[in-house]
Amino acid sequence: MVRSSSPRSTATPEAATLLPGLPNDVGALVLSFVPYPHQGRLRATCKSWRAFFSSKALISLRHRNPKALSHLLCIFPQDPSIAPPYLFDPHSLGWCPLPHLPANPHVYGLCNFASVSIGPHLYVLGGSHFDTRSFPLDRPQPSSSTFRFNFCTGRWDRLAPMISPRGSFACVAVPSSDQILVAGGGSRHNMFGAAGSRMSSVERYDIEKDEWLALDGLPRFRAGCEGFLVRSGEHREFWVMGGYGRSRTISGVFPVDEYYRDAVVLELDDGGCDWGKWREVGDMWEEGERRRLGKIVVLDDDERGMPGIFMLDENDIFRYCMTANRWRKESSVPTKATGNTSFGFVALDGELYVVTLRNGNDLAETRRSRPFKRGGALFVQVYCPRKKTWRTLVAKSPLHCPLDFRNAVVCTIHL
Amino acid sequence: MSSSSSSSSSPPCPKKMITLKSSDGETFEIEEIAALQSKTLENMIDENCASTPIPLPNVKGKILAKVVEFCTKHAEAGADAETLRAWDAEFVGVEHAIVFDYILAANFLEIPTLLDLACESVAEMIKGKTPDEIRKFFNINNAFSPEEEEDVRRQNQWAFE
Repeated sequence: MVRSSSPRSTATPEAATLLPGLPNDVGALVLSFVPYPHQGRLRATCKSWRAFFSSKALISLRHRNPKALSHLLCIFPQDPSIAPPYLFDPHSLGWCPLPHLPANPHVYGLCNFASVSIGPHLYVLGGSHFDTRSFPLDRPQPSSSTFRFNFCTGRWDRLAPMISPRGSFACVAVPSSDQILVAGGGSRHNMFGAAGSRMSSVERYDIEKDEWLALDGLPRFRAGCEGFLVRSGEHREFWVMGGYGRSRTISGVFPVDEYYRDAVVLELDDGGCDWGKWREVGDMWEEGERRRLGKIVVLDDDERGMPGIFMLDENDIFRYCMTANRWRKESSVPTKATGNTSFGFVALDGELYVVTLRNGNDLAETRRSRPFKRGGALFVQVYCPRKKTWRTLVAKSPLHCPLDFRNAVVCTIHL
Repeated sequence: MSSSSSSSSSPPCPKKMITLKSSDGETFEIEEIAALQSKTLENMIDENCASTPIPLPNVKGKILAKVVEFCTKHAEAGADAETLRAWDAEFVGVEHAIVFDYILAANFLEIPTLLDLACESVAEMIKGKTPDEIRKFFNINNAFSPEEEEDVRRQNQWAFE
């Protein structure tokens, strides 16, 4: 409770009042309920508010009360050192650009990186890029860089790099033990539809110690795999599904990926000392049923106690049944993706968001037809698994660059 | 709720009532079950100080009446979430001065549900206003010079439709 013994480091050393009529600790509690997108504007109210809205005390107050947190979408349209990532708030339809990732003059064209959030921090890991120092010049290299965005300082910090560089890997954040896990991956770049290495190594990042540790590797090498965390009660597991391993050639010429239909599971140990081995879960679908896994998100469904694992496969959402190891159809997206468009898929505030960009040619207002135009609209279809209903959101997008969800990286963050 | 007083393990018997006395001398009766939502009152009940009227020097009669109403409503069994939410919205749909009094009372009595509800409603009032409107509404002194204010305003990157 507010009156309890927690040491109050109120960010108002001048003891200026936050809200006249209320003691400062209570005033701070009131202000902590203001959603994140509005905080920036309210800083201009008075000095004590500016100090408070930039303080760590605010962040810890909000994180102590999960109801107060704003769940935001974070979109990386392209290489984040060129095109800034954007925060999007689906409730107020507000956008906020983040600073570019620090640019390294030797590397360019970063894609297939992973982005996760833990608490109020955003991480960007790995990826595939071109390195001008490498030979030959036109072969993409996997990256081992790790970056963190600190919302207090508004800057990107470079952290310890991964042991093995990788892109297109499975990545999960484990907030309860302040760790990030990565598994598999390779060097494939979006510019090329094929080639690239594949790996089986698995690593763990300890946030406090800023160090990477190798864990037991995957049974087979896989790149382009999906990873997620399953929490049921005390039990936590790291699942890695799908991905491609070998490739075969058609007519001896065209390379085609062999996609895995199975998953592997690692049980997580709280103590962090005794890490187990990977357990194989058999094929999830029959040959021919689908070619490859779609994007996967997890909803922590507390009501039933079972997490909901959902996959977007083209225009359909499937739900994973763990006991049967099968994907059951949950629903179809009302407005399908047309040939060129693709969907982004995230879980936000207990609902599933299917996101695409509609460029200005679709809207009746504009008649210009330049290929890359500023703006367009973010078209979001939201599915509520509890009520099994869909609703839509449209928001004008301020992005200057084209947004293709086949290449863009999206994640969510609680602020 | 918690295992309160040693005496009550009696479900169908007449409900145990507690008497509260406001700062201006008014007395109010509240069911023990409803009173348990307040950690302050819960502690008093546990320590068996609840047999005599409990003086609450920080809470006025008008506000205490509403707080009792809130606790009673939230202690009701079988209320569905939707109607309760609607009732809550109506409860805090009053002048902000009164909501401030609710906040102070809930803080003093340690009623987390009422505190969260009232704080959230004030935050709702705040979030829609411009800094200027906030200053007028809540009577806050503007300590910024116009240049400083412009500076802070420029730092805000959020754009809404």
